[in-house]
Amino acid sequence: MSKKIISMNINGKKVEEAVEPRTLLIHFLREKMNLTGAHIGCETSHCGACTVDIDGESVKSCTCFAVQCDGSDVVTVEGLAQGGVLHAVQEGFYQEHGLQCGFCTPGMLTRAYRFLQDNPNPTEDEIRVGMSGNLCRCTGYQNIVKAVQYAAKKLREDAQKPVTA
Amino acid sequence: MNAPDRKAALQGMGDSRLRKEDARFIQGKGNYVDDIKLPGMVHMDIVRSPLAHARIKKINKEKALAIPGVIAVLTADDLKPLKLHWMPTLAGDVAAVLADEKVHFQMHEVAVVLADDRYIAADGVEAVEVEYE
Repeated sequence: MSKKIISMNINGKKVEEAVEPRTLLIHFLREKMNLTGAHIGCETSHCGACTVDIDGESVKSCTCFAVQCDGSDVVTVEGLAQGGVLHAVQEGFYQEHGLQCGFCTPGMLTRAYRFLQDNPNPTEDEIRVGMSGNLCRCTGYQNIVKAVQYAAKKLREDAQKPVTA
Repeated sequence: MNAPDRKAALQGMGDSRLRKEDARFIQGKGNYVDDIKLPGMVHMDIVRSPLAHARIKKINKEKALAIPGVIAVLTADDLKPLKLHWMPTLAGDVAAVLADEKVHFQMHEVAVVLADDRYIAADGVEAVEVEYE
């Protein structure tokens, strides 16, 4: 099958790669880019384990072709921590015990990362709706909601801190 | 005993603890089985029966094996000489690894295709021809 050359900005790093047009984004990320954080849970876009951020939107990468993301900015769970410091959502899931087996967590984190940028001050109901595309079979969601609340609070506090030179 | 003294006397009992393993899970470094890559690793996909109950008359592998990147197509007949076509289960009985002469349920595993990557393996699965009766 003829390949198409695509380029993407993945976690701030520019990559160029020849892929078959039928290659799904999740397979491209996991197998070509070795970014195995995002998982393949169901391959039918129900579970959200494969969620990544594409040009400012949460996308389930198992139902998206890599070629569709040609020229896009992609953020995966590996790109959330900056300079060795965990992102607020990662800290929230850690502190609030928002994971057990951890399989769904990369999708949860990338979704929460986008959700809190869209809605920095969500109610519990809004969190539950905002995260409803991501399934978790361990936690019962209670701690995931708490983790997102923790991250929301931290992000708001950080935003209020004066910028020092 | 007041609360802080009591807590100290318990030496951590009854406290919740942050988990040590979370650090890798929240950074996408879990290394689940599907994340593992080994040198020389190949991919497998499964040919499944569309019928709930049928005899397998013939399995034609030729077209699948002709696809570049397909390494092997295995059926119960290939496993028989190795005595691997029926294997013990955790329940203490034996089960057919691949459908042995007959399929007993829809989606029963009839053959497996080994290939260089998952897409080629899926192509191989489509190219395997199975005749049922």
